[in-house]
Amino acid sequence: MTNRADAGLGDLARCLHDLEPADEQSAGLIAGMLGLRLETAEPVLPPGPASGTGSRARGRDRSSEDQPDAASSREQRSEPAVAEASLPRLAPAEGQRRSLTAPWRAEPELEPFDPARHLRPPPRRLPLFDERWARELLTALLATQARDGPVDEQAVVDRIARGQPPAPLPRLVRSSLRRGAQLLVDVGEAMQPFARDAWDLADQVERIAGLGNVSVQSFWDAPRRGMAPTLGPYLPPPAGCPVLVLSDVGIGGPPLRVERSRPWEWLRLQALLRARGSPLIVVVPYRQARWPAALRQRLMLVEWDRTTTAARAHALQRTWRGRQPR
Amino acid sequence: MTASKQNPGTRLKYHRRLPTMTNDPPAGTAALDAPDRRDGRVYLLSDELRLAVEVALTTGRPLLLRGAPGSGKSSLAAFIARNLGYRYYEHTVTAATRAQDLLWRFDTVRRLSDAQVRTAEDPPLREVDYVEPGVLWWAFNRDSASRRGAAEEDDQPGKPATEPDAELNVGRLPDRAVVLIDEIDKADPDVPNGLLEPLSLASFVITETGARIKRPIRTAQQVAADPVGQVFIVITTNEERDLPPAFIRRCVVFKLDQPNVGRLVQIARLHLRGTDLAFNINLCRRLAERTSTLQEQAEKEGLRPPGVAEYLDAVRACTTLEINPGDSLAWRILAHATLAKWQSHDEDEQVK
Repeated sequence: MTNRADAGLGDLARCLHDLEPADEQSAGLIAGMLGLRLETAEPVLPPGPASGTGSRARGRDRSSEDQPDAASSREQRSEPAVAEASLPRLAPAEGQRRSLTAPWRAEPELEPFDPARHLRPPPRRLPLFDERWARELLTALLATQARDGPVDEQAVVDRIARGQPPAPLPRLVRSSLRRGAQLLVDVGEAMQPFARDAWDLADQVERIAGLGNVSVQSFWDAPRRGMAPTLGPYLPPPAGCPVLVLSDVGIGGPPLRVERSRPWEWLRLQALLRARGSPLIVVVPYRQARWPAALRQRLMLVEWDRTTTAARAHALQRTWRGRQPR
Repeated sequence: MTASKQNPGTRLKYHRRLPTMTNDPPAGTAALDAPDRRDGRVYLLSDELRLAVEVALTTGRPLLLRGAPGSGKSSLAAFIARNLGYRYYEHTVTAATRAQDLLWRFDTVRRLSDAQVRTAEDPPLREVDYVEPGVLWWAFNRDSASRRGAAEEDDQPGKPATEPDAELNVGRLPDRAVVLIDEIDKADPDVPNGLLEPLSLASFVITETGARIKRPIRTAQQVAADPVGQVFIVITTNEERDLPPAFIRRCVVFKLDQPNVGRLVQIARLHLRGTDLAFNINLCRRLAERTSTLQEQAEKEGLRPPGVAEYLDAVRACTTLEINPGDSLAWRILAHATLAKWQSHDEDEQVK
């Protein structure tokens, strides 16, 4: 019925009782505000095909038995009246009479093709990070820590007890997205299969960190070779701003591809960012076993996969926070 | 349900529990003193939005208003508060806002300062004296907030806390409140999560003192006599950032669309009523049409479209300065100063 049913069903019952909506529009609006959708209990079936005298006659007989006032019923459902009398009867051409007597011709009960009913939409494309925890996962990856939380009373008391002035006032560490993020999307040949996933993830990062807080740029294979589309130089973000890279780090593509990035290029990028206090996080659409050995322990790599959870992201951050500058 | 309780003249048919909402525009030039004032005196309430307010008050859940900047999200709360006679509090969220700021703050620095200067003869410091109530606390329990959470039987009452917007709330119901939490999408993702429990339970614990703050529980008879909720919380978002699903699930959600030309003219009429400015329907309509055109252009270019606030600025400026929309340089400068702020006055044709 809905994705918010657990919280909204009781509320809906209460609203329907107290507000007594007298029309479907009001009831539908109320349900929509609570994240629910009201459905008709018995869906109205589309009118059947009027294809042949026999079936039409049978249809009439049935309706006359079961629904004595079929015309008024049709009127209530606002169905268009079918001008059956005006339809000309088609006579089979000579030579086709025999084939028309075949059983499958005599019983033309096949339902006409209705795209709305018979065509199903393609299955939904699943994002590479499970959407149930993608938000929390990305938040954990992009959060930076700063000593701008509440006053650290313990530290203040400690300094005063030692006879030292508590200046600057010590504050507790707080995780925050306020530094925004720089998002670098690898648009090299090896990342083409993940193009839609990459741009979807870029949108998601913008929604989480806030529009205007995220700078999205693209590059081929390695950022420091030059940025797309003009091969302009890579410009690091403001100091402290985390950099999130979507790249295969040289894993994918044809085996003999010479443009693939090399581990030392990533390590140099990391050194550049480390000097500016910006954490580097690389999201890789390949499993851990295929990661370059030279990068595994030296770069914060994240598997871009539905099995990666928010807890995994938090654990990675805890591990790398000690190694990367704050 | 009696016929009188239905709402004739509107498209939506349901049992209205709230009184008719009226406008009371300020007289004279007072309307121009603060164009974004939050006194709730003027608001054009649509049938659908009114129903959303009724649903939120019936279910006791916050009303989450989505919509573009300038679509009237922030002005609703004050309008409802004035019409219902509820107290009104607001908190504008920033990137530095924490969930606790809406509940309480603890003035550690003042406490430290007091601890430094106190002598042995002075009475011991009390934690409650350094607690500063937030807007949700004032809404849930005004008496408790005024006492900073000290017990009622406390024989050493400290300095009472200062109620926000006290002048605005004179004469309003002491046990009813409307709270506006404005632009929650500006906050870190942890902030909505930190509000889940206080919003659901209307209750929270002050960690420094251990006091539990909660909304007074009404008897069944009181609820039966007046079933409308005691606290109405309006939360707005410009949708610059997604909100956690668990948070959205606990809200009544309504999206405010940009008003069309006819509605913009109605809004201008309401805002100019009672002022020294004459309502010129032709001028207002032409400005509304230009606003609508510029909105479409801005949306195509991915820019922030002008909203109601910008339209009203243009109406007031054109009326006061006697500038008519057209080709004049004065109009183009005015239009770019109020409606098409992303362009300079010599670089486009849309405002003509």
